[in-house]
Amino acid sequence: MPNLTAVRFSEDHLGLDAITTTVQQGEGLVGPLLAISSCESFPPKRLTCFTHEQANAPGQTIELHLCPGGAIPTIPGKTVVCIGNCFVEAKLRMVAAFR
Amino acid sequence: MRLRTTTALAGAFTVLCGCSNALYFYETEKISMSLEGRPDSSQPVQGSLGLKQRVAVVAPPKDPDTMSRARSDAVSMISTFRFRKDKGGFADLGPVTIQTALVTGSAATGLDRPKTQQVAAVQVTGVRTVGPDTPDIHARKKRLTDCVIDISDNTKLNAIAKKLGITPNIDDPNGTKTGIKTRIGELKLPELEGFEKSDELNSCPQ
Repeated sequence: MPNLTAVRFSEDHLGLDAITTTVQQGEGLVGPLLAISSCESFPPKRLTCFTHEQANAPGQTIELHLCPGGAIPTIPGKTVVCIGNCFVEAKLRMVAAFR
Repeated sequence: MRLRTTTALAGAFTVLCGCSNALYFYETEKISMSLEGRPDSSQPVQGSLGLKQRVAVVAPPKDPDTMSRARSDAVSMISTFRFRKDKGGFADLGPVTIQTALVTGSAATGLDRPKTQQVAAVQVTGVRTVGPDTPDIHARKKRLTDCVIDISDNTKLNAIAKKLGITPNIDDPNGTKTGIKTRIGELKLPELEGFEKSDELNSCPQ
């Protein structure tokens, strides 16, 4: 059965560590992360949208990593959950989520 | 000796000439201070401080074609004013702080709600955002979301949704729960403290 989803928005000034904590806390409240996307539909705000799936709590803690040049890094023992546009310290970056 | 100083602190007058539906906003603040002392040292130095503020807004018709009167958005306005003089300095003339604000639209109409400033801020920006919470606040939110998951009484669930300002899902209570959990994650501390005291959450484990 498909799961319901929930979205959370973060401001564009946050750093990757703060965003990671936010996403980890979001997983605890509304479910595992499903997608990351930038959102500029509420100008002048530039937001990042995190879509969470209302499903069973994930076993491993999620990690976010930058993808310089668009290259997804390899994190030993982790698999990619999703990649997406994400505002990090006011710059639009490519970010990959690993679990 | 008599000293009188009049200062025009701020003035703004925005006019969008040639636009039939332009919004006009005008604000001035003027401060007047007088000090009076006499050669007789037994007489105290006397002083007075006055302030005059003018705020004017002319809101355009919402529909420029029919020129019908606007019913929302810019029509709802509240102007606030706060004056504070701190102690200190010669003749107790400490710094003077003047804070003014003009709130318009749904933010103004939302000011009579319990969560006044938070609600107004959200209505101004139009979107609630999240950031990292302290471990304590996250734990408090987690306790509430876990509690909501276990609620089977639809009436109670809808009452919680209403309290949080979200729309209940008429098809599936799980949809309502998702909305509630999302909103709990967005709550700022004053809102969270208010929400924790809700009657509907009395049965939640501490």
